Amino acid sequence: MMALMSAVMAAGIVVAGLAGCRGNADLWDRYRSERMLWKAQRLAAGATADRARESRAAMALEAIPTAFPPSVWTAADAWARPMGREIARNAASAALLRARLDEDAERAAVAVTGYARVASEWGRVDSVRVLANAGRARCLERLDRDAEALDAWYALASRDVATAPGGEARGRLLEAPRRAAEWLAATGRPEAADSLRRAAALGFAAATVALGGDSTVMDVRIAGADLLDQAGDHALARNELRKALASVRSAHRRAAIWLALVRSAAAEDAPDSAGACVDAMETEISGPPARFAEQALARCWARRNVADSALAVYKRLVERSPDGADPAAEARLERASLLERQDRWEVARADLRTLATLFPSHPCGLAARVRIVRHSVEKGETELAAVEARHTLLELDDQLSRQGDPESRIRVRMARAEVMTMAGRGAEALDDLDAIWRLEGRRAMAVPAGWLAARLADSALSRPDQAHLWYTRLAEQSKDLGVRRMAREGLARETKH
Amino acid sequence: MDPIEQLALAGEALGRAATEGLRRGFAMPWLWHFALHAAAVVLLWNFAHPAFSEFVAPVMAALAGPAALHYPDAPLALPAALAHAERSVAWLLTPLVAAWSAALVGRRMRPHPPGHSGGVGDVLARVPVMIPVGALVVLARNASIGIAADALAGVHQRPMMSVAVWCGATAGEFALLTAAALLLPLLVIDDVPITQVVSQWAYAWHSAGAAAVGIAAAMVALGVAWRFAYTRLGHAAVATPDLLPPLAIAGALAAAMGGALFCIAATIAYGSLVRDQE
Repeated sequence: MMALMSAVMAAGIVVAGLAGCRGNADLWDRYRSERMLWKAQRLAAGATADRARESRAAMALEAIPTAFPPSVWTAADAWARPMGREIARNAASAALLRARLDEDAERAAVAVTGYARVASEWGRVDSVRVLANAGRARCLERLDRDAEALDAWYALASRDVATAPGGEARGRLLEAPRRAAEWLAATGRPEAADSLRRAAALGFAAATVALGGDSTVMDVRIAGADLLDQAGDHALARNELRKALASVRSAHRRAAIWLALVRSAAAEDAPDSAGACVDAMETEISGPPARFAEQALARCWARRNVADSALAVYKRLVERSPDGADPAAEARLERASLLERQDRWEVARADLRTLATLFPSHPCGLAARVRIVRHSVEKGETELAAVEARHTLLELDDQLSRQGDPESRIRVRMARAEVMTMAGRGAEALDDLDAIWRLEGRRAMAVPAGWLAARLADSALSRPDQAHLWYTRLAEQSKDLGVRRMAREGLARETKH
Repeated sequence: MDPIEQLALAGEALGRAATEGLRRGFAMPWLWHFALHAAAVVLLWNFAHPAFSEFVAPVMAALAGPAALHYPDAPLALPAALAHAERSVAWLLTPLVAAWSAALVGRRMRPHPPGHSGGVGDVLARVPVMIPVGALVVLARNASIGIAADALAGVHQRPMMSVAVWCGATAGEFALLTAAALLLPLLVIDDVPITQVVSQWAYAWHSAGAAAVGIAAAMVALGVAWRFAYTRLGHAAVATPDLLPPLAIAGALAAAMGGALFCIAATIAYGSLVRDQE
């Protein structure tokens, strides 16, 4: 079949060539670049788990900028043609994906170089340049090259959103001020962080005017309001959100704005305002956004120690959430904690038991089991604690024997390690957590296991050598900047002691 | 002949069509039919090649929209573009090819009277009668196949309704092919004027109805099986769009083979049951 098709095509080409057809060379190049990019993207998806596939994806991605070099496709004559720009965008996207492959495979130093090269060679493709600079900033963070990472985020934060490219690149630009401010705050410069947030929010407000009827205006307003919230200007933040609400018709987007409004009021510890927003949104919004809003309100009341109001909202939340929904589990756990703080342990324990039964492998269900044992330990009820621990360990072992999902198994083993520590089998628990880390070190799920191990070694077991080992692991291996920073703080504390 | 004998003869005709069709050159018109379709697939698949893009890219855009000039939309849109193109010409092309094929078989079975060669000239002479009748049959059959395909696509939403519609559409296709199995040789070999088509068809039905039913049933069964397999293959190939053009060529080959089988078998059966009885 392929031979027949090749013969027909060859005959067609000869005939067309003899007939003097010259065709559209850009169309052919665009088609080829799209085809190569599509195939390379397919290979690259999920390639980090498979070394051979990753290598094939890297070769496929590298072949595209080789076939369509930046010197040709970003030159003035190619750039003047619409299809020429599309070809340049395809080749630049391939170069960007190649650098991202290195980032995903935890080769941050190589990725930094790759992203820098993409930004300089394909600088004319604005969206790719923004994404490459954001990728470079992320990798610099990963390498703990603080000053360079901050500079990279600063450079992105100073771009005018109104003239920036749309899509994912705009998302990265909206994220940049937040990341830069987080860096400033983490390095002990909270005033500079807040001032950056306010300046960026002002820039976003100006951009919304320039963007006019653009569909992404709402995202810009929400990002600006988020920055104002973080800077402590909650009233200004809500003002921005109300402006966004007035201009949006889509129910999905209105739900996102209403939720941001409630969260802003809750962050200001203004439960009355948050409650008013929840009441107002109730008439038009239902489903998860409405439940998240109620959750924020309940937490706000709980923080203010207005237990009755908080309990009323939690009750409504539990009743309205569908069985198995995350907010229902979280609401039950938070309600139980509140009841425990109110010295209403019997009611709290009943809630925790229900939670453990309804959500056996959910983080909240497992936390409920651990909480029941911990309560007895904290109250000095040694015998009851031993019985509860033995009973819980049996249940967790049974659950482990039936559970096939790797993430659920890690959660169950973590809960088991905590209970074992409370039952006086701390060394065994630490070994179990070590096994989790060795098996699943690359998964995000392993981070809580690492934290738990560090905490156990640091406090319950009083094993400074083990604590040092776990903090070092977290500081060196975690992808999360916040985790690495906290681990370094833990290491510093250990060294001091 | 009684119906059982007629059915046996239909089976024999189908067997002869399958074994002798290519050897004796009866299927030559259908090879041309396939070559045309294959060339269309190759051209539309390579619409962007500089040798063709000047004239094929606008055709591709007109058939499947401007998005089909991009990858992977182009190969994904190819089956729909081809179907669109085929719908535009099938009403004319298929009756002509079928008539040509039947004429070749008829000439081999019995020498024509002076002035009749049984070749392209005869076929062209029958065009005023063949085109309206053949176009009606082809359009109605395509419509019934389309209805059956739509019914199958919606089987998960409304199973009972879909099965009922599919059965109705398939029965319609079967009835059309039964009628066509007698009409084709009647019009091509016997030169029946259009005014006498109905009365002559009734006579042919009386003599060879069961054989026509057998041939139509076999063709419907083969068609249903092929379309089912083709749809499954098409769904599987969506993840690998470059497989869709070869699959389209395989589809064209299957359609040509089916057409050849039907036309040759129907003409052989008609010749044995109607003309040889006279």
